[in-house]
Amino acid sequence: MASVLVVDDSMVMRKGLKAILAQGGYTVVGEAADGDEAVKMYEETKPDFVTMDINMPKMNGIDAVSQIMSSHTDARIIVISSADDKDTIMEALKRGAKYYILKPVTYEKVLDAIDKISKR
Amino acid sequence: MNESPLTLDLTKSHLPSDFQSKIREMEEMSKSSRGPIHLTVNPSGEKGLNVPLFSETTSKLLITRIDPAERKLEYRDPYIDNYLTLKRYAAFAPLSQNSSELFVLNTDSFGAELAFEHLAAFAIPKDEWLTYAKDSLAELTNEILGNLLKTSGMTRHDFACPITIEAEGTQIAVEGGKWLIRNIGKNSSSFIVAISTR
Repeated sequence: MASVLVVDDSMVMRKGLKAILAQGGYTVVGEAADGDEAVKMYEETKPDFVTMDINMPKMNGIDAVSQIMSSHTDARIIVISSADDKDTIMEALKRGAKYYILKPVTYEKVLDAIDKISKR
Repeated sequence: MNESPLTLDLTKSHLPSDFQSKIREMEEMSKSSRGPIHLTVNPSGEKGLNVPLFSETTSKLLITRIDPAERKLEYRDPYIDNYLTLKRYAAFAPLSQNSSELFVLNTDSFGAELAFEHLAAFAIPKDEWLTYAKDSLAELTNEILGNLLKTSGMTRHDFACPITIEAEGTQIAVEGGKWLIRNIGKNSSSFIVAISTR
């Protein structure tokens, strides 16, 4: 069963994502509420996938993607954000994110993203 | 009980965590005083924000997101006031890097429950909404503002994490400015979208 690290500063979003992932047959191996925590938890859990929010206090999601990718070039990170602008999407992908989902999050969007990057 | 105006300086809140700390400070201030709280913000930048347009689009997006089918919410005309009176839950977000404009999504239990249903009804039992009320309102604000980046001329860097406080009845003023307020509701329950303006 593939493992996922869920990163979001919102407790309600983390709980929602966990429910979606569980329904899709994935195991959530960790939760982080900001970019700093995400980098540490990635090292500890080495998940198969990461769902990463962008707009978070302390370290934001885009900087966290950079930090994780600098030491784990094979990391499979899906950025999930409310930021609907091309620059943000391009920046996340340029830093190494493999896919981008715009909120609101749905079961179909999350599982489709994981499915697509699994096939690459 | 102290009735004199209290002030809170947001001009140096450049980091999301600074902004959040200041708004939490306001929540604490509201517990010890019934007087209005006066917020000091930076002057608007050169570009400035088209506040009436932003209020209009934000309000429409709010309705689209949380009430897409039933049309339970009525859309009322905007007005300008010196003071914003907070309802039970109020999510604050700066609309620029230097906090020159503030956005407040202000609501009662009815609105917080709708926000929760929109975000998590599929994952969390409905009777747990109260646990997630503040978080849900902040996340709904985050979602609405993020979806307006493209049309508002704002960038990701202008946009910090919203934070929700409980400070019912507290009056908030912006030094040298006013609030553009729009009420979207049903009977006596409502969401209030407020944006500070010069």
